[in-house]
Amino acid sequence: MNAVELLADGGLRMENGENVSDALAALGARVLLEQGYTLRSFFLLLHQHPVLARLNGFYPEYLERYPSWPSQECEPAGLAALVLARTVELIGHPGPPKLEIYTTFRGRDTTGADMEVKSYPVQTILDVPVVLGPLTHIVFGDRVDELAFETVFNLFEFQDSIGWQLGFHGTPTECALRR
Amino acid sequence: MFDRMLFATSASATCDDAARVAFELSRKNHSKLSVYHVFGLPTRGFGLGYQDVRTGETSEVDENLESLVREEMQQYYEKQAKDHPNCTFETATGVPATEILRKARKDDADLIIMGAHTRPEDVGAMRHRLIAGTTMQKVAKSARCPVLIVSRPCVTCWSYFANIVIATDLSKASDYAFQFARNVAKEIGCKLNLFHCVDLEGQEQGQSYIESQVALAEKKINEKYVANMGDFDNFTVTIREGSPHVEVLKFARESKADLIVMAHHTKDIDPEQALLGSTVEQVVLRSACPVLSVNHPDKVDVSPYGPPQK
Repeated sequence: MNAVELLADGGLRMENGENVSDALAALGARVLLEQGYTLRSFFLLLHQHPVLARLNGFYPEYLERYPSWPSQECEPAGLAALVLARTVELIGHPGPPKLEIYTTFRGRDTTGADMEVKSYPVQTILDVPVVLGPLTHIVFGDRVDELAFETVFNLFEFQDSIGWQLGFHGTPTECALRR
Repeated sequence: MFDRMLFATSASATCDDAARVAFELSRKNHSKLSVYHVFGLPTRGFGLGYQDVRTGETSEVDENLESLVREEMQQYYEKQAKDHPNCTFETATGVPATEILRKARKDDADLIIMGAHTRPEDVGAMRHRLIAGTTMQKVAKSARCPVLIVSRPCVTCWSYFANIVIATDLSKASDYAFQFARNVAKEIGCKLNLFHCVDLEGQEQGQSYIESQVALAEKKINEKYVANMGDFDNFTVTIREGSPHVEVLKFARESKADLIVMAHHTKDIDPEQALLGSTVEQVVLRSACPVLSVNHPDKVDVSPYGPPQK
């Protein structure tokens, strides 16, 4: 499987060292992240390859707001990394049997524990490292039977999954006053 | 403003955000608050087995268990219920949506408050499960009164809210939502932000088409809503184009909304047949502030403002 490296400066580089000019051609390639890759790198990628911003309705607005965000030190205390992971879940007892496969983009705290990050406005987590996580397997909602495996993500899954999560980060940071 | 509120809860952490809003809102309005939990019976096997939402264990429902759960609920909400003399705790057995609707009808509730999910859902999993088909969906569809859906911690100050966003698609159902939002805004003296998005999702349209649609929407908004504002003048009108749920959420953030009011569905169809519109569903999932779904013309006049609906 072809691999594409996502560079910390937002660039895309194929395994053979060539820079990618047409991001669509690399959508199916396996993603590798350069050391030091952060959420800011992700926005730089969208900026360099605007065609990828069409994958999610929330990206254009974020790109519009990006220039007004701080250029450094956007790393809240306690949040060590943002982890892209995949879950395979067997559901259906009682009920018709169902298998769901979905990706999640969640936080990891300094102790390595999983944490929900949707309460953080995007501009406050730009410098948090992004890492690729495992595939977990949940059987009938029973987390005791969770199994973790190594997995890979392609560029489409990477873009699409982060976009889905960022759509939940619209928390207002202040209240308005009544007239 | 609301005399009787019904807070339908699983009495677990999933409903904590909704609980905060329910207790705060009812205390502020001196409303009667019924905290209501339904044991989901019958099960698939038509037995009397009930699966506890907190422990996941199955047990038989009898009077002892019901009184135990009521007691647990009282303890769980002890802090919020303190200094709240008009708060009662009740349980019932049956199909949750049916029992909640029955209770709302019996109590003549002015407002139902619920969380969006019975169980905690992962953001990634929500994409596949959404909320259609859940208890909330069924209640929102059939309730005669507005349903307040709280799916995120309410970071803005509900009791002192300053901005209501009414997102309309100019349908008849949206007219009821508008009436309710206008009456609440007038009653509490806050700003009403009228919002409409010309739906261009998945379409490539020229500028002239967009401009004509915006002009048409502006005309309709003036006729339907602005002309019916009466002496209420604390409002704004905004029209945008794009993907409706993205634009509603964006506008809500920009206008620092504390509450988004929408019609339950976004098409001119029989309310009894309507499923929760996809725009409302997408907004409910992502909104940082509570979303209020209005599906019927009943209860849109909020006492003491305006005559009660017949």
